[in-house]
Amino acid sequence: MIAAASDIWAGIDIGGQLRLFSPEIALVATMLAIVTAPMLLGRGARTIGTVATLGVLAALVLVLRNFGVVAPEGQGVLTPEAGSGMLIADHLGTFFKLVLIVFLGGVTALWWMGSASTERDAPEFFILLLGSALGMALMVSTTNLLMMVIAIETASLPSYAIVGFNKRDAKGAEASLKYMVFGAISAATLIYGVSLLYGLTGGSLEIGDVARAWYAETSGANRLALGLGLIGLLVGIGFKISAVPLHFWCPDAFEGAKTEVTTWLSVASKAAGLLLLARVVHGFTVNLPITKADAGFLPYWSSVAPLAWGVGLMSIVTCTWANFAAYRQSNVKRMLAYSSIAHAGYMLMAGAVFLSPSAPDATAGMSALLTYIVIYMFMNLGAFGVVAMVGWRAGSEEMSAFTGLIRRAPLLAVPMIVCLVSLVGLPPFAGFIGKWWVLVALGRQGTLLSWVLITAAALNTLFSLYYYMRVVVQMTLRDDGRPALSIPVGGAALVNFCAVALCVLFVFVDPVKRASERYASGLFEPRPTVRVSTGDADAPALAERAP
Amino acid sequence: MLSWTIFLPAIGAALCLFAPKGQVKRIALATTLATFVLSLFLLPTFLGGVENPEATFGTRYGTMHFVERATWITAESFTIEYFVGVDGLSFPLVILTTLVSFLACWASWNFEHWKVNKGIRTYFILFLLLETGMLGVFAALDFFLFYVFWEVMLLPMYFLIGVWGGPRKEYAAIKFFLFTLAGSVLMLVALVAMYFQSAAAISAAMTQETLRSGSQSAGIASGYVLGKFLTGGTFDLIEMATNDAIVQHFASAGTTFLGIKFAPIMFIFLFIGFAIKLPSFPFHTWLPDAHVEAPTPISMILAGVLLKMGGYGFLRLCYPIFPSGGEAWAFTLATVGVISILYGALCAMAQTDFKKLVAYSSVSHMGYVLLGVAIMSAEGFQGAMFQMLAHGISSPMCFFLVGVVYDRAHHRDLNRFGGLWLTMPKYGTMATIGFFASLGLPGLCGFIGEAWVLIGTFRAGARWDWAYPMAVLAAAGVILTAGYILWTIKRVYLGHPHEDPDHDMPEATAREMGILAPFAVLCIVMGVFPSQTVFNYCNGTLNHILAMMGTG
Repeated sequence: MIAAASDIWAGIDIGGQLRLFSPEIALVATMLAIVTAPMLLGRGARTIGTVATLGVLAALVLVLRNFGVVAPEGQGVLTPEAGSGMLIADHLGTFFKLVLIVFLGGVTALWWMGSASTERDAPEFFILLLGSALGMALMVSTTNLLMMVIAIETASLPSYAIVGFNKRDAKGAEASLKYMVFGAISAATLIYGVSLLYGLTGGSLEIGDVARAWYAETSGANRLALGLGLIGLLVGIGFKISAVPLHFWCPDAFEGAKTEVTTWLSVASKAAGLLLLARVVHGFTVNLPITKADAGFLPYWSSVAPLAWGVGLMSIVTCTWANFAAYRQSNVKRMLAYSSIAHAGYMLMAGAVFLSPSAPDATAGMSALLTYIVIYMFMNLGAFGVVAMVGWRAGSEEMSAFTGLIRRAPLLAVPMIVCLVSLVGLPPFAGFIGKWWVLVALGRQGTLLSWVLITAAALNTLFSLYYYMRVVVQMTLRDDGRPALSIPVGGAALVNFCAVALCVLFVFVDPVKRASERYASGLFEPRPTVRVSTGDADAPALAERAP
Repeated sequence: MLSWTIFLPAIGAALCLFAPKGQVKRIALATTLATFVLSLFLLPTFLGGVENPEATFGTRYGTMHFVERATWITAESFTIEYFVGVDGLSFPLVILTTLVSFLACWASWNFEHWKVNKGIRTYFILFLLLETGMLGVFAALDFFLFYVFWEVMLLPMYFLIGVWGGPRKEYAAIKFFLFTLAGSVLMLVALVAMYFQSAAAISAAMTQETLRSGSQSAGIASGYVLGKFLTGGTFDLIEMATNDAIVQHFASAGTTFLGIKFAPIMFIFLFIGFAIKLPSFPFHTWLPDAHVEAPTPISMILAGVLLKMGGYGFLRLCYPIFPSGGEAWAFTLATVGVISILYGALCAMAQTDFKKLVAYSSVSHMGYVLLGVAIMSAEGFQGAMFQMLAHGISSPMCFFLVGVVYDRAHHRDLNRFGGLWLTMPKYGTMATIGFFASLGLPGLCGFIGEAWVLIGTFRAGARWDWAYPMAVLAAAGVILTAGYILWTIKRVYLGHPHEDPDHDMPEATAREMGILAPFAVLCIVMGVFPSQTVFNYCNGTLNHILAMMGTG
């Protein structure tokens, strides 16, 4: 057996494959370094912070180095069988890892400004933070169901702990527990769903095989069981995205956690979940047994449409529900938590396009999602950054703490206005253009569902205006003579940088959009060649991928 | 040069950001003046003689002057352009905007004496950014760009009302914001839908051409429109109105949006967006609040320029691109217009707040604009255009007149004024001109537009039976208008001076007269020489829109 195991590794370029995996390895190495550092260098927050920062920079360099190495159509990594590895290295994964690690840098910067001086458990904090980053990177790099489960858990378990990181804070502990209970249930559902799929596909964990089985299945009972399995999978992913109705953990966890952690989870966790969903849906798209747009021979309404409408309706419910729930919030952090749920809804709308039989349509949806994630990162880093600084200096994240901020700290209030208006999705800020590309991707597809989604997105822009403006009103129109806030220079620089980036990205969105297009395009092409069943019993009824 | 006109205020705003506090006011005023002067350079192109009717009567629709275009967003084979230009439809509005902005900026000169006099720098920065947004809306010829400028305007306006406004400023500001955004989200849906339908139209035309001529290259060649190859759809507003393939595709009954015929539904989406801005009857409720709470200069801008964007939107987007939509909705629109006229006038009559009265009179006056465009005739369009410009002169003047007395009396209760003419004769004269212009007295600017619209509505009776009763009802609005204006003049300017021991009413200052005089002069000149001041520049374009619509 041992000999056989070594045989299958023969002829595989392990060095090259490890290189593709190097950013993740850097994260793991940094975690190990942080474990050992207290023995050698002591537990000082600044020492540990430096080690972590260096590790993040190393990961950044490594991920940049991978750009251009990765083949657009993807490469299996660390696998004996080429083509269907446990991990995939492709353009999409690399793009996401870059955004993820840049964002990790931003969160680390936020940590340096706020918690570095008071943190007593820096090693634990960074191990958890980097651990969840590792899980998120893995989530986007796989098409294997088992690996998905492992990645989701790798991302989730540190997140539970980091949300309740402050041991003395009852609110954080409650949030952490709530998060974990929800996480455990959705993980159980996920694993149950995956095991159903494993059984029904005849023992395959590849999402492509699941898709082919779904399209080929004719028995009603099996189809139902497959559908249950898919729902289980969707619940597991929906939990990470915090799509309604799987969102209940989100406001509590976001409110209870430290603001750096909230910032981290609001963007990274959701983006990873969305791209994992994209991987799943992509598996279904490339295995669609049709190429002709009008091919009526496949029971579209019974196989593809339920998936597309499922994702689409989930997105509408998610953003509408969250936008209305946000009205009642008096805590700005909690309000932004609902806002992040709503934005997950907008991004999920792009996901509804992936199921298009046309590769350009699907690519447009994917690149819209990637562009949105990049822009969303700046919006949330800026908005949560301001909330964090107000929280540190005023001791509260309630709406009242923002009263008269325009006078007390104009360098926080102005970027906050920019970020909030951008979150509403109004020009001249990049939030509008992010939403615009989603709408365009939907319009390009032009189905009934997509016009429903466009209308829903447009209306939600209107619904969301009021609660974002409540914060703006509190900052600009109300003033009860509170003392001015002294703000850290670095923090002001960070949030103002985000605000400027939002303006610049609005005018010069082309490069970002083109890059995301380039990094999305490999995913949906080449299309499978199709052999259409014409009633000939010998002809294979299903599509086969081109050699 | 047009771009300089648009962005000069933004440059001024940037200067204000770094200038010492005491200089901000001067920089802002100099910027608005420079912008006004610069915009006047647009004028000579449109002057001409009989030998050059093209230039004299505004150009044909689609023949733009001062065009500047550059590609902006090209990802995903989009062609979103920075595309600006003016024709007979837009250049009078551009000049109106720069003029009103300049005078409103001058009207802000006593900022230090306002109740909320904090943040002078922010005030003028926002003011200048607002001007850029407004000019951009009138000059933009790319739908996407138009939409961007349309939205860019919202935020400065929100803060200008919300920070420097009256007691209910917060409510008024958010109401303004919500109403306008409600309209613009519909516009956003239309923006996406129109782009993809135009793409469908172009590709269908190319296929057809290929089939007809039997050659692929001829088919591709037909995709070249206005010298550029359209890979996808287009956001070019002129292209959408003049490209036969697109026009036919939009009007075709087979083109649908969510199962509804495309032209009427898109027309109504755009219409609601613009009607909110205009504002017309069911959507007007933001206006009295916003106008009353806003500081005087901002009310001037609101009434003088922002409302015109609604009317401009009808003439630039709704009618040229969806003529069949206009046809389908004509009765509804005309009804809404007449209701606006009568309802606005009746509301105005019931007010005791001077500013609210002027605000409701705007609803009434803009009703004529809506009625004029709804009947889709030459008189109607010309009257609507003239009414927009005339109202753009007379209503900021009225708001400023109210502002002048408010500065002195610190209240606006119509019943607590009286005999102002006795203490302020110069101001009283100006007020009479302004209010009579608003009333529509022949010889002053308000008359021409209303008369043209009414004549047009009567003539439209030949086409639609319902036009006769509409015309009669709309004409009744003139009487109501005369009623509330004359009553106001009686209460405020005539009779015995109201005893007010706290506030004496000194004569208007030189600055105030300086702001009122240009308005007054324009009221008279436009009333006496309607052709030389307005019609000669717009009619050609307006008639050509009608000709394109096939109803000229």
